[in-house]
Amino acid sequence: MEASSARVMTAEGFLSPPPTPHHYEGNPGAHRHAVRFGMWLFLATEILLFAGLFCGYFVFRADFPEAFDQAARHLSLALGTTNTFLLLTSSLTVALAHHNAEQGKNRNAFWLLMVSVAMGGGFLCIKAIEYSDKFREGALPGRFFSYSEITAPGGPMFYVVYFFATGLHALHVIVGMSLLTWVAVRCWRKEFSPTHYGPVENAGLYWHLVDLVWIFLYPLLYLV
Amino acid sequence: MANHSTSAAPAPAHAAHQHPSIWRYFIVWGSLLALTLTTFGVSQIPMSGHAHLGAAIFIACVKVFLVACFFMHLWGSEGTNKLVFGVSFFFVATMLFFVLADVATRFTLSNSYIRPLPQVDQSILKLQRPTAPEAPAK
Repeated sequence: MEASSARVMTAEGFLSPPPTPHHYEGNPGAHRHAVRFGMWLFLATEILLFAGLFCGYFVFRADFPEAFDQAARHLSLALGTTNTFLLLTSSLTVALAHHNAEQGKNRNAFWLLMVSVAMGGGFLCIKAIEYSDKFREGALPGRFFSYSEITAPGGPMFYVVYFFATGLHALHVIVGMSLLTWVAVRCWRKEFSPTHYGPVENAGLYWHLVDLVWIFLYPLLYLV
Repeated sequence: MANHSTSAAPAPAHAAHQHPSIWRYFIVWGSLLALTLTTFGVSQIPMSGHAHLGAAIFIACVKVFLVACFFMHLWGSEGTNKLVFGVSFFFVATMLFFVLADVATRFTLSNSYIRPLPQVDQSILKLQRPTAPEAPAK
């Protein structure tokens, strides 16, 4: 904590970066590589976490094809497609924020990150509307299922997959929004420069992963 | 601040990292939106369920390729990052392939849900259940 409180404005107008671990002193390129590589390793574990849910989706879909077909038709395609556009566009603004932070344009990066967080909020609001519709209709997992529109056996299993997959994804959206807000505050404090932009890059990588998961969830749940 | 970096010597790692043009991001974004509309359009074409699933997964993979390569800067990134992403994707594909190969080739009665068999008399399903020996009629 002492180290961060001692940080001062550099001559270039950036807050001086936190001290580099001593084993990377004199080799900032290796430090940046290690930071990025660590994030990619973490993302690999996230991919495998979601892979388990996708696996469950395919197994239950093979068991109950009629119910999955009927249930997919009862999801709101307009809301799902709007959410897809929101997440893809927020990925663009996050990539642009990274681009600006890398060039030391902290204020631009701040506003781009704030727009991304707002789009993440919009995504969650739309998801909340969809969830409340499902709760009202009784389109719920397991023994809570009471939706008369789905007559084929296995309807409750579709909603187990639907709520677990979209729920875990929504949790990731919330974490991603928190990370983006955190780096946006640091942008506001003019912390990032051409030699120090790792936090924006890593928070951005996390947000793009949230986007990647949705790219698969959208067609599997809403379209096919 | 003992180790002042000299402004004359460029940092080699950073010099090697080129800033992509800002328009690249917009082109990728436009392509992603176009692919989203494509996957929506394809889902409306009357085809078999398997064809729909295959088309949707193929388009999703193209979108993931675009996001990973350009938004996540995997294109032109260090080889180790590409290796991590490629290997995790490979393991996911392996897991899904073998699980799907299993469920696709199961004998119908071994599925967790037994669908009605149209060509078979349903009473055989009852005959397979062990029944308690009947008490002799008096």
